[in-house]
Amino acid sequence: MFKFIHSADIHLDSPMHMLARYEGAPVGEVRGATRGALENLVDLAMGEKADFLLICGDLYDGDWRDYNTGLFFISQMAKLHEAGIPVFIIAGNHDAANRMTKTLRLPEGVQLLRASEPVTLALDHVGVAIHGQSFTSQAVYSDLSEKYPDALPGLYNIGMLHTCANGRPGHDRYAPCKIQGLRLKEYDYWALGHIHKREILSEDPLIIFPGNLQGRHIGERGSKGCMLVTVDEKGFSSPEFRPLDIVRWEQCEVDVSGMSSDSAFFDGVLDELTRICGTTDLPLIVRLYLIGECPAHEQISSDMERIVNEIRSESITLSGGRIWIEKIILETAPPANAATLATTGPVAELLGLIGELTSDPEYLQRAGDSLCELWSKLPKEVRDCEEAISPDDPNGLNKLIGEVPTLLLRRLKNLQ
Amino acid sequence: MKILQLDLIAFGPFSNICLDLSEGREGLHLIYGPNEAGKSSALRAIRNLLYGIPERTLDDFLHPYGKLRVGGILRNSTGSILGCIRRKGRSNTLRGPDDAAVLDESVLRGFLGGVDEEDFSKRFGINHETLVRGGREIVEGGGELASVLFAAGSGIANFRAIQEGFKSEMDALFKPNASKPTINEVLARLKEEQKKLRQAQLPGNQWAEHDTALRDALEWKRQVQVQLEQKEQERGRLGRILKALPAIGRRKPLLKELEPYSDAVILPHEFSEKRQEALTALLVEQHNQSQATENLVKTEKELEGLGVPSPLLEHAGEIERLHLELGSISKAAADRPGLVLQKDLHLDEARQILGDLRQGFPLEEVEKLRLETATQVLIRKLGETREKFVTRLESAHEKIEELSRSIGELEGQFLEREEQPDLSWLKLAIEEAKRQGKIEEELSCTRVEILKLAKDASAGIKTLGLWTGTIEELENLPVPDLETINDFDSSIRDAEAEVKKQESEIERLRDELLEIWREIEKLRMEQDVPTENDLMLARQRRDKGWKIIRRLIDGGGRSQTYEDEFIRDVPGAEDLPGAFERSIQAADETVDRLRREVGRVEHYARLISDREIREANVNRVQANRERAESGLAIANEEWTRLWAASAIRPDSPGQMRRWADRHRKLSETSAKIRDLELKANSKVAAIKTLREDLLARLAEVGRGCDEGESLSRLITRGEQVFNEFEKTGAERHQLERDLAKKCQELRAAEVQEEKAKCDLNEWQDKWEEAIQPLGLGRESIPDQANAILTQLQGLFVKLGLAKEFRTRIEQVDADAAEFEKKVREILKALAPDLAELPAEQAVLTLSRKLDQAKTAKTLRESLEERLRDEDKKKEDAAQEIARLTVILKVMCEEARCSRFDELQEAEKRSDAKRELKRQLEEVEQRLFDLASGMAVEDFIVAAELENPDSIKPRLHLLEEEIAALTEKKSELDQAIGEERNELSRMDGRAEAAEIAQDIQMCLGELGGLVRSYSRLKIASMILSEAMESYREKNQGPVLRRASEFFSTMTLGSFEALQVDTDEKENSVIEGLRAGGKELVKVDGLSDGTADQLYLSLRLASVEHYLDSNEPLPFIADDILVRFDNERAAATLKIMATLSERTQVIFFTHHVHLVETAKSAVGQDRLFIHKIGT
Repeated sequence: MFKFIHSADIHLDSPMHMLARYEGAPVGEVRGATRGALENLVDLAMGEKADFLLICGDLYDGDWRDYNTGLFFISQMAKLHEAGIPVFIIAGNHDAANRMTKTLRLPEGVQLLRASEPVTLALDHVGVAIHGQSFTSQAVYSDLSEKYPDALPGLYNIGMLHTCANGRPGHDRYAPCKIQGLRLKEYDYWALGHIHKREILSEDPLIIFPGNLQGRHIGERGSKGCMLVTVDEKGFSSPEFRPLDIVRWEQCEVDVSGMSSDSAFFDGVLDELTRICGTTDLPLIVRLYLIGECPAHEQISSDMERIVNEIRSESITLSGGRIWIEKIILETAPPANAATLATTGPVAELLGLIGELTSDPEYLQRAGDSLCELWSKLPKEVRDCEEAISPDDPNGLNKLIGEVPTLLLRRLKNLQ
Repeated sequence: MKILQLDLIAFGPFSNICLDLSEGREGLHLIYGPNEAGKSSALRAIRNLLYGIPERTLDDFLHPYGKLRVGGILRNSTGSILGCIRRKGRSNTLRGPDDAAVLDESVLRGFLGGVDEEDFSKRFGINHETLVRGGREIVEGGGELASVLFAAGSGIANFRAIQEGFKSEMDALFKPNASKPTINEVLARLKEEQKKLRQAQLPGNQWAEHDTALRDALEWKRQVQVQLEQKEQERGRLGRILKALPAIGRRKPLLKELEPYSDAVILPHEFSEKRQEALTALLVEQHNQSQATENLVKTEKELEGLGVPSPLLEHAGEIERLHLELGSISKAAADRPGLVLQKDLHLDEARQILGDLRQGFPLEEVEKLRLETATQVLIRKLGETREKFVTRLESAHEKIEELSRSIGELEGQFLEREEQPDLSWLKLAIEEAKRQGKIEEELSCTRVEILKLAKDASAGIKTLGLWTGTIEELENLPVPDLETINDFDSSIRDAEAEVKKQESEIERLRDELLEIWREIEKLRMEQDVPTENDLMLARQRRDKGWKIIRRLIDGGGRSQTYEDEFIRDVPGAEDLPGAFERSIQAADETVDRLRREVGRVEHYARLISDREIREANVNRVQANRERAESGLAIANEEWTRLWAASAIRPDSPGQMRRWADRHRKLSETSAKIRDLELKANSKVAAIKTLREDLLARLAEVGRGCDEGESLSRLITRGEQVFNEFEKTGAERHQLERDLAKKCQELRAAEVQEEKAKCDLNEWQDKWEEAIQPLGLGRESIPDQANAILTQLQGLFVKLGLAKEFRTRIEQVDADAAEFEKKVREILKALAPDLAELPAEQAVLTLSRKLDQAKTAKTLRESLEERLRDEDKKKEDAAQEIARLTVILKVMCEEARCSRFDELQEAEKRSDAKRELKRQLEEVEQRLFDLASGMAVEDFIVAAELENPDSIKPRLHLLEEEIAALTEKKSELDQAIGEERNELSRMDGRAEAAEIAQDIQMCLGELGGLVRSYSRLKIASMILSEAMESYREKNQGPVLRRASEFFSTMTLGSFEALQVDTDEKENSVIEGLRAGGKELVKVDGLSDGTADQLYLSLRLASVEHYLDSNEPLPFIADDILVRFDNERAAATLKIMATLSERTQVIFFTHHVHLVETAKSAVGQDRLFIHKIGT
């Protein structure tokens, strides 16, 4: 009987993306989360007395240049070496892009598998054969698994592969492969990496994406960690997910349908936050969606800043400073049967105009032009984020214009 | 839509107030209320009716939330009518006119043309504040046309504030070339962080460089270290050799000096001292030995001359005991005569007691009289119990006597009480009489009342007046009923009032007539008022003159009479031409005056006509009065006829109503008297029955009574009798019970007496038996027995004491004899020479001899002690001499001498050898030290191989080489330290990663800010475009109409509004002064005129709205406060015009505006409503 740990996509020292700081947010907990997750991985391996550890690519973030990251990794691996746990790594697309992969001297007991061709390593004391191949460059489009050797008879065969499998949205299509192709190799376990969402592609043989170690944006929600695989005397494997994350990303939807005042929907929001708070003891980064048709729509949308502040402040109290409200996204709408807006007069003119504008390319051009001044000052990272609207993105501009009526109407009505 | 009616059912200060706003087409409804009247509540009520009562309202101070209601009736342009009531609440707040049926809001919404509450209150409502703010906004905005039109059209007075709000918010977020705005600030921070990141990041090659440098430095340092060690070794070796050279030189002569002492023994340092000590001690001990031998001989001689009597010492114990006993024996002999006296005294006393007790009883047999203690106790105990039995017997006897006496008394008392008869019938009779109550008292009250009423009635008849007769007759008198009297009263009164009214009317008319007359007279008095008649007369006169003159001119001849008459007619004329001239003048003058004094003329004419009218009226009213008087006469006649039946001549109906009232009361009194008499009779009968019954019952129990007693006295009497009988019965019963109890007690006492007698007898038997030994009889009392017992006790005490003294005397005698015997025995053994002496003396002598023997013995013991001491001293000296001799012999051996006196020479040689050896050792130790582990001999050989002169230069060279190497090593150490330091900073720290996280946080912040800014930017742009678009569409009609309004409102001070272009190429609105020459910019308008400009634009916008939409009421709240009267009137006229198209509701609490409105607007369009008090 033996045990091993299958991990992937550590992206060490990669930060939490686009997280606006605010007073009372658990900034300290968020810092160094990927390092904390790696430490958890090492602790787990030692605690479980694993026989070996697999890291299936993307140990580093591609464009990250700080050698300290590598040194930190080595210091962690040194602990495993002391504990007599060997580590096997294949380089993924990010690692191939990162110079550190090439320059960093790995400590004893840690082995980075070659990139030129598939490698097979036999661990005689546990009766395991490990097959794997690193990425040579960032973009590998061929099916690496094709060239992997057939299973060695009498041993427990593991294939380490950094792959997009048959493709997953949000991930580059690197080293695609077919499940059927993997099956044909007759391995006992395929340890995959690259896709950040945990997924068991096949039960027999086991083909598993363990997901990444620590979520870094709202796309990487829920618990994150590795697979602890126990193989019994008969060669039967039981994989078990073990969470390692330090901070968890979550998304909540609060249906505020029919609510006529913000105090009412506050209760709904707090209930939902309390619920999600109860799912874990970890610090949480939460994106909140408010949905549904409600009479308070206009009030909410015109007063978002205050509402965001209040929800953040309440969530600090509620969670003891454990929740970071990343964003509150308003997807409410006024009730369908709300009073019709004015049909004549200046306000009607205004609303009519907005309707006309959205379909007028010339106008959109002008609207875009008005944003150019700001756009030119923005760094690339901001331009790429979902909230920034490019001056030449008609869809984005239209969406922005869609937000204008409530803003304008409220001001025209309120500021008397 | 028009509000036909506004029902302020329960709202603000209003309860069930209804405003009828239905009049007019559509009407300018001016609602006036002074301060506090609830004008603003009414204003709110309209809004709340149409759009609901807000959740928090101030209009609940009188009516609670739940009761708030405002209702109304609305009509829309198609003529549909909607009645509804609005209540406060969250849902279903719109009800039908019954306040129950829920109405759908959409029905009402149909009446409002889709205008929401905000729009309604802004576009169709205006108050003073909005007006002033609107005016000011136009001025401050420089009259910028698009925003002026937009603001007026939407009714948003502070529209510019909104635009500026956008701008300032955007500026706070972002400005292209600033640093303060939030986005700029975050961007700067981002750059800063990125710079920090670049610095914090550790490139991979840097680490490798430092790593290599460290390794190289470590290796180099190792090599330097090896060289340094070699050089230092050589330097050490040469240095040591250099230092060893003097020692090597000294060593050889030392070895030579030592050779002659090769056989000398090195003695210990203390040897000499030890030798001297031993020799001195030997001399001392030899002297001690001879001294001791001498002392021994002397002491032995002394001992031989000393003798000791040992037999006396052997018996020393016995002699001392006898000497001690001698004291007590002497004392006892002295006490003996006292003891004999005591014994005899006690015996005499005993004898005396016995003589008292039993005469002649011999003392020797007295023991026969001794009683056992048990017997004594028995006698005393029995004696104590006697009293108990005697007392019991006596008390039983006393009780019997007491009870017999009581029983006799009780029997007497019982016989005194008589037996009780049957009282039940008497009781019944009393109860019946009491149940009837105070019937007699009531009877007398009734009688008094009858008398009083009868008296009142006869007095009433006397004062009634108009009629006389008995009370019974009065009752039957046919008097008309009150209603009839009242009818007459009112008809006569009306008739009288009518007469009076007509008279006062006549009076008033006459007064007026008089006044008119006076006025006419006054006018006449001032100056004759020319009339048309005067003119006609003057013209006739003139024409008459002209005819005369014409005839003269025509040659028709003249008529003197006619001429004279004419001349006479013209005052002041003397001849015809003068007369004609004057007549023309007079006619002209009359015409002139008529024209000039037309006011007075007209007034005069009016007065004349008034007078005529009044006179006609007087006549008319006089006719009326006559009619009224005849009506009154008829009524009076009918009134008199009404009373004929009762043969009464009536007074006025009012008085007769009071008379009839008195009459009615008297009739009622009569009926009451009849009723009371009947009641009195029935009570008399009842009293009689009750008395008879009571008398009979009293007789039955043997208590006859006076037949004349009243019923109440009889009742009292009956109760007394009843109570007496009851009391006696109860006493008898109590006595009976007491008697029985006493008899029972008597029987018990008798039994007790018998028992006491038996007990006493029994005791006496026991007593007799017990006292027999005392020589007493049965009848003797316990006190006698007790006395004897006490005496006996005294007797035996005395006897006991006498016996005790006798025993002590015998003991004294025995002791003396024993002593004598012992003395004789010891004398016989030790000192037969003392046998002749009395015992006491012999003992004393013997004792003295014993003391002498003891002294001699002590002296001998001390001499023996000294002998032993001296013997020991002699022995010790001998031993010490032997020991010292041995020591000295050993020393001789050690020093290899044969005699004690050779020792000193040996010591000297030893010292010399030791000093030489010490010096050699020193030299060799130094060499050993310098050899540094080498064998000294080898070291000396090695040193001797070196050339002593080359050593120093070589050492100098080595020093230099070592210094160079040390410096190199230190340099390397520093380099290693630096490299290690560098590498230690590359420790896998998270600094760069944390900065990267901070950068992400900046980016996150920026995302939100950029979104907000973009939204504001687009919104502001859309607003501008909308304004422009609205201007394009509405400028023409609205501006044209506003221009007209503005001209009217400013009373033509401005001719029109015109559009001009300012320096920024914006279209702006300006006022064209009257005359069309001067254009005034808005900043040149006074505050009031600016208000009027804003109002013109608002009204024009509303009119424009009405062109194509369902009309809605325009509601103005006291907007004319700052307008002067003329402009206010002009504005009200404009609103009246607007009210042709839609209802205008104008609230004010300025009463002068009501007046202004009345004079400015026709009654067909203005409707005034007053609220509050």
